[in-house]
Amino acid sequence: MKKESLQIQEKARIIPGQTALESSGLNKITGKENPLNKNYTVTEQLVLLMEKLSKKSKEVM
Amino acid sequence: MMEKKYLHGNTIPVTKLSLIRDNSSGLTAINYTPVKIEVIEKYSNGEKVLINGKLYITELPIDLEIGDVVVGKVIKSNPLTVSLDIKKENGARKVDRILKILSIKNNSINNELINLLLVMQKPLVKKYVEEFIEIMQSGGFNYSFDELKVLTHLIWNVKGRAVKKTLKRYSEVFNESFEITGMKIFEILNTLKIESIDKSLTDKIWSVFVSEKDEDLPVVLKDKTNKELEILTLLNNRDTNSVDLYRSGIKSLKSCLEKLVLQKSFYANAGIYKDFIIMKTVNGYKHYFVKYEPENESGVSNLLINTGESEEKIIGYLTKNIIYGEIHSPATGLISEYLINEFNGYINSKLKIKSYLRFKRIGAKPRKRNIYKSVANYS
Repeated sequence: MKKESLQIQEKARIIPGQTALESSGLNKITGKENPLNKNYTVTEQLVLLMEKLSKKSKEVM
Repeated sequence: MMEKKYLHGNTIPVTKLSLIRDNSSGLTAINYTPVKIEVIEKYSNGEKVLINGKLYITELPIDLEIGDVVVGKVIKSNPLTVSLDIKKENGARKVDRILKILSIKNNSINNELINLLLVMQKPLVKKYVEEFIEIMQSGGFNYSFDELKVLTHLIWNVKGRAVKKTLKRYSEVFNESFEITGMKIFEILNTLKIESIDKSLTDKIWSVFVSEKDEDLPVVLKDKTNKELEILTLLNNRDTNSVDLYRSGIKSLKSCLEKLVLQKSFYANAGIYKDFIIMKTVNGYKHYFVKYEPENESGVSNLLINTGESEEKIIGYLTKNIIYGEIHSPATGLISEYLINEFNGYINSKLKIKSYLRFKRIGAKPRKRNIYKSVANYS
């Protein structure tokens, strides 16, 4: 392949397609990063609501 | 490490370089056509790359080696800006072009797999795409979408000698799904409870998964993984002095619990947080699966709660102060509206979170032909 000495075209910016998450997965699930640890009260209430609806639907049937 | 943030390159001085070849044109046009980016040399803090044959200096936002090829698209002409996220403007021709750039055989399976990677917003680095295709073609088509996210995360992020070991570990840990593992734990716990040979241990294990003290707060969710790890430590010291049946139950529980924690760990690394919970109900014990998937940097989490068996579920979004979504249940409209209003009010007043949960009935029998609808159709 023939090489020619030329001026570089220009500077190109290449931006990422996604932000990667790193570090130990175990640290994530045991720490504050875990959304379940931050939102456990809400999650409990949501599960309770699901259960109430499920129970009512069984009563109707 | 994938993330290097946005790279501007303004600090890199422009110097004379040897242009290896220049046979392209139209790079400055913003037509979103996939372009080939080839790393040819490390340069200062960045890299020299060929973009469709033209030489540029840049700082790549992902770690690539010399010789690596990645697909991008031009999104700005001045300064030339190429995005590695090419999910938008999807189409068959684009996938054909991508396969050509990556020198990968163009067939229907590879087409599907590229489309899948586009949906998952993975930078299309040739060596990773090839590895992904190889794993998928060697019998990996049974993975769920979430499992595929974990798999691609590993391929795209684990570097060096750890790759093979990690992928092997992945195939062991995901030889059954998270939901199957959870349901197995549920069954073993029930058996242990019935056997009740080592009551203190059984009670301790049971308390991690189920609280039987307060009907209003039956779910034990706070720091659940830490509690599971404590149970694992406890089980490691306990399985030798008991009768066979019990010992085998403890052994199975240990193995399933280890798998559950590892699956959660693999998922968390890929940005998916799953958990498995059991609650006491008037009809006995019932299990639920919870999934949070935070969207990058936006503070919004996608939320899914389901049973793993029926169509009942909550699907929506959660931020620091808003819940938005749908609850799918076989309950009737009136009861549901009442309970959901009650829930929205409670969440608002007690937790200061605005809840916009809507109801969607599932499993309803189709109604008889609606005469008014028919009239409306002809009017």
